[in-house]
Amino acid sequence: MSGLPDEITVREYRPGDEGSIVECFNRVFAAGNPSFVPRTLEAWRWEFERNPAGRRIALAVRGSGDVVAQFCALPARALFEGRGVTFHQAVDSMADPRHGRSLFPREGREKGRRPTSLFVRTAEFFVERWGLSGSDLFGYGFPIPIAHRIGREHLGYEVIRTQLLLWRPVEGATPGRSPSPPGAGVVLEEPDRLDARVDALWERCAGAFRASLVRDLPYLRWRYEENRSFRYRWAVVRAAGGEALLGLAAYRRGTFSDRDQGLLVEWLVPRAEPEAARALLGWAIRRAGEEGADRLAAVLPDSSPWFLFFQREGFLVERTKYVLVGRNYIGREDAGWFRKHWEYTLGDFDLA
Amino acid sequence: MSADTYATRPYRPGDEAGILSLFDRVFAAGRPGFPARTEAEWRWRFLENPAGTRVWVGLRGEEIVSQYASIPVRVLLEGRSATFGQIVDSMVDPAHRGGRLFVRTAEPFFDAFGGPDRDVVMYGYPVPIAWRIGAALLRYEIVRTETVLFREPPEPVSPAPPGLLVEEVRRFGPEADALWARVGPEFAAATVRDSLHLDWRYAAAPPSFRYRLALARGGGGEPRGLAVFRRAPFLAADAGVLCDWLVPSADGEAARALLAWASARAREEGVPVLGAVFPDSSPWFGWFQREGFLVAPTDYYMVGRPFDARYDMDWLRRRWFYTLGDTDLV
Repeated sequence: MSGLPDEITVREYRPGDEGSIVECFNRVFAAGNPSFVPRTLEAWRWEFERNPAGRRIALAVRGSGDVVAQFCALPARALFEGRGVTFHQAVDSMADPRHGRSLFPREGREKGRRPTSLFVRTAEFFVERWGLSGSDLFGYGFPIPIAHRIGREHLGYEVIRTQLLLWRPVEGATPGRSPSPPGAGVVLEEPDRLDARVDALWERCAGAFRASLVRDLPYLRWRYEENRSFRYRWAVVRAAGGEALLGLAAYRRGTFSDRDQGLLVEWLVPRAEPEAARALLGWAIRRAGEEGADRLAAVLPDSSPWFLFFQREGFLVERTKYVLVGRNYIGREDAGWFRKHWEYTLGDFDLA
Repeated sequence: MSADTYATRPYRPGDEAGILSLFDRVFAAGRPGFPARTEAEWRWRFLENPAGTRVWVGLRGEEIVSQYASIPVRVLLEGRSATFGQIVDSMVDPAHRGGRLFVRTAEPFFDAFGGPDRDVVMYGYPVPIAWRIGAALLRYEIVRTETVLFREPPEPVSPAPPGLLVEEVRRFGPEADALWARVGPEFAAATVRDSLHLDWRYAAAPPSFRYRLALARGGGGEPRGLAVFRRAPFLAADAGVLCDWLVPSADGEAARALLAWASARAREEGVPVLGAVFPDSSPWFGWFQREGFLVAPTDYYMVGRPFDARYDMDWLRRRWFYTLGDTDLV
């Protein structure tokens, strides 16, 4: 990278950087946030080192080894128009205010372009390395406003949608709605760990998806069961007398869009299984009530058939503070395409 | 074609025929049944608007080959008077594309009409090609991806409250002024829905629009709320559309009375669904859901370009109230 001070290098993560990354993270995100809970090295190792889809970390590092800026993402295997690809979720973008926000002139081939910050240089390195190289097809995230602005101006972010939330009160009925009685003829279980039946469920659901993360056993175990920061509850549904799964959901109580609530973070149900869906919703409502939450919330794309199903089951729609952005690095499918065809849940983001 | 062979300038009397001809070449070509824009409609929309005229044209010789235009509206913006402009009918003759004429027509338009003391925000629902050019070259940004509230069939959940009378009127007149004086202060940013605006927007519109205007009155005859209904192909081949809505947020009775009227109007006209658009930040977004409406996505995205940095997309998303009547979709 030209134009940077001699002692700063922009490069990929190397083993040994993690301590400085976590220190920088805790320094940057603690500022002005009295409720900030410092990240532990163990939580970082789960999120970045043990992710079965790999690592995507670009860093600006001083000669001393101190990390001063980071642009990184959580990759995930994805299904896109029937083929296996990789998506990544941009997370933990940061620049140490002591170094990362200074402007540096361009040199060499880039001379004449606007001076940019160390953060932008780090992000541009990331995009070249894992986006434009063909490594990952699609990047996405819920950026904070400043990251959104930088992403739009420098990184090709496009707005996929202004994100809405589905919610339902734990107690009482929702005015204007007449939900169906809980699912009949199905059996609901709450396992501590998922088993290989999940893969068959994923295969059954995947046929209806044009773009989605691959929700198979390795992914779900890493994302939820091995998570070092939060405890999630599973529910699975099978037909009475059968073993094959008809649906699964994950729940935890937490804060989303500045509100404490029960969160339905994962949802994998074939569209032809409304009884399984009703059983899982009933379970999540009960679980939220038992944990003292006053409502249950879910995030699903408004293009998903589940978006209307949930409303007919008593959920209301509400705005959130989040704007979902994305970039297709390789193909011609634009934000409008992803708005119509990309299936996701709250668990596809690091917010829950 | 050299870009230097084109000139741009503001609208002048006498441009109407050239603009309408361009509109037909751009929007009607290859679309049998597309309704022709009449000069009467054009004059109502652009010249008779009490908030003013905002039309810029591009010419090759004497021929109008591009247009960038807006429909301005007076706005109450954090308690002060301002204007916003709804970008509509931006177009370039297919025979003159590829020379940045769209941008060359838009830029002087923005210079002339945009600014903290002129049109503070320009907005609209662009077609995809206008969005791509606007995002790349004209600083368009997305305020929100739009949803629609709909009820199918249009049966009300709550009965019309007794003691309120909903009357269909030909124009709103001073009763709208009284209502706006009460409701306006609830909004951080909203089109001034007084009689000057509403009676131009709906009562003076060409008859083909067939707007139905309704006032809800309390027992003493005082205005409690107003609504405008139209049957139109909006997101369904045939739908009842609630085009406008001005009700104090605390007056659920007036709201239920007007919703009962709109539902009855939809049933009378034989449409299978009643739809409305409210920003998800408006209390009416939740209220209509509690009255049985569901939320569905649309292909539209509300786009804005602020000319005062205070009113960026995040601010507009949280604070700006609008209805379908603030657009030219209905």
